[in-house]
Amino acid sequence: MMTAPAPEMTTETDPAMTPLLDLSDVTIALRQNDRKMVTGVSLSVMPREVFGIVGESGSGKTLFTRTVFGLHEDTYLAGGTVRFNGRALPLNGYRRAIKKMLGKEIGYIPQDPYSSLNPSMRVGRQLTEALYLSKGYPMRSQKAQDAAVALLAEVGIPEPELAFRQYPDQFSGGMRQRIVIAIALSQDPELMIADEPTTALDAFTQRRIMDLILERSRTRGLAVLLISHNLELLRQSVDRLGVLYGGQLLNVAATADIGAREIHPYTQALFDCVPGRDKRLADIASIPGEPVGAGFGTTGCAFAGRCAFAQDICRSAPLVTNTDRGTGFSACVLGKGARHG
Amino acid sequence: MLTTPRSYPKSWVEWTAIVIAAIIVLTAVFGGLLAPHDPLVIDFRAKLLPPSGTHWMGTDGAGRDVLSRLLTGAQLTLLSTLSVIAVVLVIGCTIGIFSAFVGGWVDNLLMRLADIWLGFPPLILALGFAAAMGASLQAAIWALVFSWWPTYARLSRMITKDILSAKYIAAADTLGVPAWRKVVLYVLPNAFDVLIIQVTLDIAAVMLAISGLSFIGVGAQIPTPEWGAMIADGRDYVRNGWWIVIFPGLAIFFTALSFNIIGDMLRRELDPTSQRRA
Repeated sequence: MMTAPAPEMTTETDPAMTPLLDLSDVTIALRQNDRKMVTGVSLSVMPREVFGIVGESGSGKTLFTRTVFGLHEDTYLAGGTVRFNGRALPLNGYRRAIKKMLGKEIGYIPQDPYSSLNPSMRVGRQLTEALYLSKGYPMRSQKAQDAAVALLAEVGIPEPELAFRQYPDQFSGGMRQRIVIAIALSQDPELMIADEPTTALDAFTQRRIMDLILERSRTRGLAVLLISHNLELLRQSVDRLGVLYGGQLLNVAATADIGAREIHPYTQALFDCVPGRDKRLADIASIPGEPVGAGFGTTGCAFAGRCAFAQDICRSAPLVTNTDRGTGFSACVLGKGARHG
Repeated sequence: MLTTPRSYPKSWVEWTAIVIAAIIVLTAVFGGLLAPHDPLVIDFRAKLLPPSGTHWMGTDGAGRDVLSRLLTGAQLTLLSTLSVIAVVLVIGCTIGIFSAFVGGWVDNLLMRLADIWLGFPPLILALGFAAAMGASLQAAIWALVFSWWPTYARLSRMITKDILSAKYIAAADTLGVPAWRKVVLYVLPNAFDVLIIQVTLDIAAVMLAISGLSFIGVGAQIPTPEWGAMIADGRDYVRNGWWIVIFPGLAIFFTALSFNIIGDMLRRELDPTSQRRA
């Protein structure tokens, strides 16, 4: 039997492969005054891909994610298209449409494991509740209980039968985050959103939780959208990275490219700030100037004010958007970090 | 929190309050059976008798046994108090939780309505009810229900708003938990501590209000053995029959006080926002 040679991954997206999540020119505005906070974001997440979104505090990454997944009350999708599995979601009533997919096709791991579990409900009950809502298992059935215990075991909780009967505050932060992950996994999602899943945890636990998320998604074949400001964690975890700054998507880069080839000056500057084993203190460069908040707009590059390469055109040219949603993208008008071929 | 029952050492005052409250509750349940005499039988040959072996708390102006009336009245007083609290709790929480969930102008309207309602003096309401229904215990109960619900509406709305902004509700949203399940599984269990504290404190307040209304004549009427009405009836005889007023007075005093102390104790142990807890 002849087998076709596996096609090489090229910069062009494989046409046979539909992106799982496909955002085109997404603009997010505040309900209060229609101010556009995140502008012209286009990116796609492939099935089984681990995609990271990085940005400084205030860059709009959490606003962006929470709005795209319908979890933010004060903002709305003001423009653009969101496709999930090739199906476009309506812009009118977007929030309702995406919320229907939450807990089914899309799983969500919230930021703070300490307050994301109902304090007055036993862990087992929270899992059977999730299983009931997504799969219709009756909450007190043996089937639901077995599935819940299996999930607790899957996320590495020791003595899952005991944990089933305990309350959330009887667990440490890392264990609680495992429970939260078990709840998200119980939905059998295709895409898992992890919104700063490890920020509240210590460095050692961070790594273990991140490994758990990656290992579970690999085994179950999920795509992961990981939002974080922890660059090292992202570099070690994700396949590709989207960089948000001032509400603009400045760069989409394969993590393999970082340090290996030219990337967007902002992304480069971010990674230059990260302390590392092979770096001395003098090698760590801070970015001059103050960060701009989300909502910079579409005229000029949000980073121009702090960029070492900035020219006049950087401040006046319209924002370059990732229209073809290739695997790599740079919004730099000077062409820095753009992938060719 | 309910999930972390931490026991604080109780003082002797609190133990006394618990014991008294337990006695009162038992009396309310079995009081009628313990009464040595019929609380309603009038015997003018035995009127205004001081406390003695046959009449431990003496007799009133119509020769009725005060102890028997006190024991029977416990049930009446506690039952009417609890029915006021129960009705007010259900109505108030329904309005409050609904208001918090819906939000927007509905929320505003309901809460302003509650504010206005709260400004209306319960005494005037009670007089109105007494005028419309005839002065009776029922009229007093209705008057209290009507004037008490806004407290619970506002309290439960506040707690619900608080819970709805918690991160575990945001997490529940990502699972698609419908609104009514949120009420049953998220709001009510987490609001329970605060509500139970309010209920315990209000038991004393409502009991005092019912007795007060009966005392001024718009509540229970003589010969109903309600404690407030007993005091009202006995005040004419204070000079030659102190026991008629003193015993129901002490009963009201100790009941209100012990429930108040228990309420404070529950607040200390359950309320996460309580200062003393830190």
